[in-house]
Amino acid sequence: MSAQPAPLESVAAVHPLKRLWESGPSGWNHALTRPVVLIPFFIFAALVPLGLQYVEDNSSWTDAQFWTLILANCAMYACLAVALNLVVGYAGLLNLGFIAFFGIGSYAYALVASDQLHQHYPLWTALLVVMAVTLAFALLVGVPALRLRGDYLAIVTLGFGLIMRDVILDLDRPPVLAGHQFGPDTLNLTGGTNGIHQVDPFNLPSSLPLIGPVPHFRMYYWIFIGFLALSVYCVLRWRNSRTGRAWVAIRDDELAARAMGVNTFKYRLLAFATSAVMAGVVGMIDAAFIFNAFPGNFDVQQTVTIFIMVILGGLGSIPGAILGAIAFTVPPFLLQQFVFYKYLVVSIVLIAVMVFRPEGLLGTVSIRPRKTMGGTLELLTAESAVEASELPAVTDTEVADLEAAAGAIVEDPEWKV
Amino acid sequence: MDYFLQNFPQQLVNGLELGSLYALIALGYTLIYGILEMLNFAHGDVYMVGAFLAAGVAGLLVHNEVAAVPAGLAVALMMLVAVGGAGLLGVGIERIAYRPLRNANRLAPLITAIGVSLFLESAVQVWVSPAPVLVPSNALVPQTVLRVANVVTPLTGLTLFVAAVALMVALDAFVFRTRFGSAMRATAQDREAATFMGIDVDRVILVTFFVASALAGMGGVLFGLRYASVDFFMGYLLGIKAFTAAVIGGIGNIRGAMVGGLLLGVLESLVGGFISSQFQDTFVFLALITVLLIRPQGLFRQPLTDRA
Amino acid sequence: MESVSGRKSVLEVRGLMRRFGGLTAVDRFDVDVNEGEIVSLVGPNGAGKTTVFNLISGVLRPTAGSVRLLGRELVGLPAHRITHQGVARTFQNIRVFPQLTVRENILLGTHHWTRSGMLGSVTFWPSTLRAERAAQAEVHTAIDLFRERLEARLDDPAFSLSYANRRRTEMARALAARPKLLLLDEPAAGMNPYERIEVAGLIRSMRDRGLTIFLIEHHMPLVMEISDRVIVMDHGVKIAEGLPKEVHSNPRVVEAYLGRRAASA
Repeated sequence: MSAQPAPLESVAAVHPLKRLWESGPSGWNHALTRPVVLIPFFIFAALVPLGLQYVEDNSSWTDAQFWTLILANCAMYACLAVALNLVVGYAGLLNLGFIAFFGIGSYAYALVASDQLHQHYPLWTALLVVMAVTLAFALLVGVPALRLRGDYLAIVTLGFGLIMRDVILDLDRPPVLAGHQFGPDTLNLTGGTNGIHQVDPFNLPSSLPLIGPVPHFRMYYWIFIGFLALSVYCVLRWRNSRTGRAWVAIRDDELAARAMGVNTFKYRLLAFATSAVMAGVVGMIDAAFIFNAFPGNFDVQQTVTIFIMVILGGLGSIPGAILGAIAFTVPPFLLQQFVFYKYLVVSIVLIAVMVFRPEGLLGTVSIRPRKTMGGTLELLTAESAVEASELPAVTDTEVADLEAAAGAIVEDPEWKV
Repeated sequence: MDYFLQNFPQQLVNGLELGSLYALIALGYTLIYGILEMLNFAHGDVYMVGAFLAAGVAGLLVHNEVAAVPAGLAVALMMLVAVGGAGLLGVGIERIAYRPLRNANRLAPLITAIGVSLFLESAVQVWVSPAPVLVPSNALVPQTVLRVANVVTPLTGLTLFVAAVALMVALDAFVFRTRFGSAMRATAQDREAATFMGIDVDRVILVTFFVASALAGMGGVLFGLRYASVDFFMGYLLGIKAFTAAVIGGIGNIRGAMVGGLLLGVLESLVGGFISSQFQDTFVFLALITVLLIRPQGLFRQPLTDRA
Repeated sequence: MESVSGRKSVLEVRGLMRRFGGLTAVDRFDVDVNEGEIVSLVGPNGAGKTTVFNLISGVLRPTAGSVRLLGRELVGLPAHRITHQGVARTFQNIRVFPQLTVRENILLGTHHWTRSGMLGSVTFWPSTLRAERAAQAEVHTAIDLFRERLEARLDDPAFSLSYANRRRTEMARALAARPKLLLLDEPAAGMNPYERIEVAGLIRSMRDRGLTIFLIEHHMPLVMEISDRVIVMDHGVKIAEGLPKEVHSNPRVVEAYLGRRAASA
């Protein structure tokens, strides 16, 4: 057994950009997530509103605020897309009630920073409250639901999102159970269909050294960009750590992950809860930004929209998620007259991407149909053929039983040998 | 306690009626899950489209509260269009959105399904009507209300119940007594082995989707005639409840879907009547979680594949 | 049943049973594996061998029986805790994580004995950094056995690897878990003669490093060559056990593989 021959590579042969192009999506992803790309990107993003202001001051163009608002919205969705990418792209968990956590964050903040309950907590206290409340809900849903298999988890989270919306709409009066009213007649927790108004913005200086006065919309653009940078940093660090490896292992092959000592339930919960809390904090910033918390924050269409951002950009790709966010926030703003068709377009694009190119633009997760590698060969060499009388498995333990019994890999992405 | 006893029969009857609707939709869920091991999120929206198709036909045939053709014919046409249309829609969805992903990672068709669901809802919202559409059921079916002791139920409600039971019996016979039905069961058990047996799996899946969607379409017609109004969002919550019913009965099991639907309808009605109508849906959701945690295989352990 | 006196018992299985509905896949199976031994489990297809592995490693729950690792009862523990107790395995149909690189796959092996959490990863906490360094070092120890085969491919995603390299990666991953007992499920499946020789050498090297190995294999010459002891199963039952040569000529074993007429021939 001799050593492999030294690679024959002539240094001058391939231009680095060409090599980058040929390395495909995972190569592009790797390149785009390096600090040498990300840091300038965020610096540039931070300078954009100042640039816009400069252009406005020195010409007859007057849309700096309009564009900054669009970009703030875009940044907000980018934060949400990055959080969703963590739970769906890395850990492979379909959280179809994702937007509910955004809504919970916005309402939690609104309740402690407005006249609804006459509470006006300062920023950091409110942040702690929002994170705690969101975490509590995430555990409430996650602990029972994350023991279930993927499709069941999906529908349970879908149901959760729906229920939360209904509850929020119904809590503008005291709840009545079996004839007993809980709370005084005047109890109005959530403002029902109107939501909560006059939410306090964060207590921040209205002008910064060197830059001068900072209008509200610009300040919040920076807050969103800042949170985006923080999220991207954390998510990338996690991906390259023991936690991230465990997540991807669970997504790729849960049985093997368990065989390697990964407590799959714990790591699913970590991914689920982390992404939920991130969404909650974004909700809090949003409530402070627009001074309101609306029940529309819980609409399932929003979840699907963020899904399309992540899918189009590519599951598992952070730059992809940001691109996806841009793709689905900027055009709708510019094409206001077509906003009625927004969800129609979103759903058609989602279906098209899933059918023709499920890995999206920069995706690193292969969810394409596999060629029949698994399948018959494994059935023939399997030890026992007992699935016929087995139940359709619902929990993961039972799936493991069946999988093990068949010796088959249930989820088997395309192998490229 | 008196209040309870007095109102229990009425709530029970309401629940059975509600439950038969759940059962109809749950049958479709369970059929598709049995064949493809896939939860078709868009199923509830197929029901919605069926209801709109029926409403559309009714709108064409009824002017100023008077039917242009004999009421019986009108209703028959509504059913034909709704059932056929929904069935074809289901087939189309399978062909376009699910089949390309049949062998992919299990996540993939689920993501697509949610896209299809949103598409159907948006399409109806944008191209038909964002507001509820009325169904002139006055002109089409007798509005008699049956009264037994203190319990009332509209004739249309009773029809819903009877129709659901009849369809379930027919489906049961189809799946367990016909040759095609055994092809379906074989495919559900082991798709690959079924192809070795000479079964055209693609066709089996197609027919399954057609039947499941047709049942949903029928549910849509019956709902429209009973409640006289349809809206683009009606399938969404109902879909989740029907799924819950299917799980309670044992996903993949036809009789389970029927029993699960009726049971869920009754439970929901009782909770709504005696505890809180506000939190009825929350209760259903909690029921789902409880069943999945405690007895995930539902009431009837054997799936579609086995002797029920 | 043989036992080498003075050697510590690593694996002790008693009365292991697993039923699936009406089928008894494993029927009152016993085995002892002592420290430093290489024990092979053989038998025709469908005999229940992989099921035994699944029962030991916690993927399946036994209907009855006991599995002790160094005296500690494993039955009832979840699979990931059993790995933590010291059992690592490979799979019949190679289950590497396709979207992870070779390095990351092997690092997964270290998961259960390194401590590093989410907060530590984002804050460059010293103990987290140390744990990560230790894990990375283990990767090099693990691929040591394969000489240069995997070195060049460390940062390639596992789905792009050849069959043989995937098997090596899976083995390195199991080694990185620093197990006390290594379960190898058909390590030589799909290999040509040269590769089989390599596998035999690998298994011996692993034993020399102090590992105890319990393996399933179909290729009889390989089994004969490297095993200290051989156990034969058929239809869920142990039908023979002993030194390779003894088992090889046992008429019950021949019958199990080739049928009654061949046995009496």
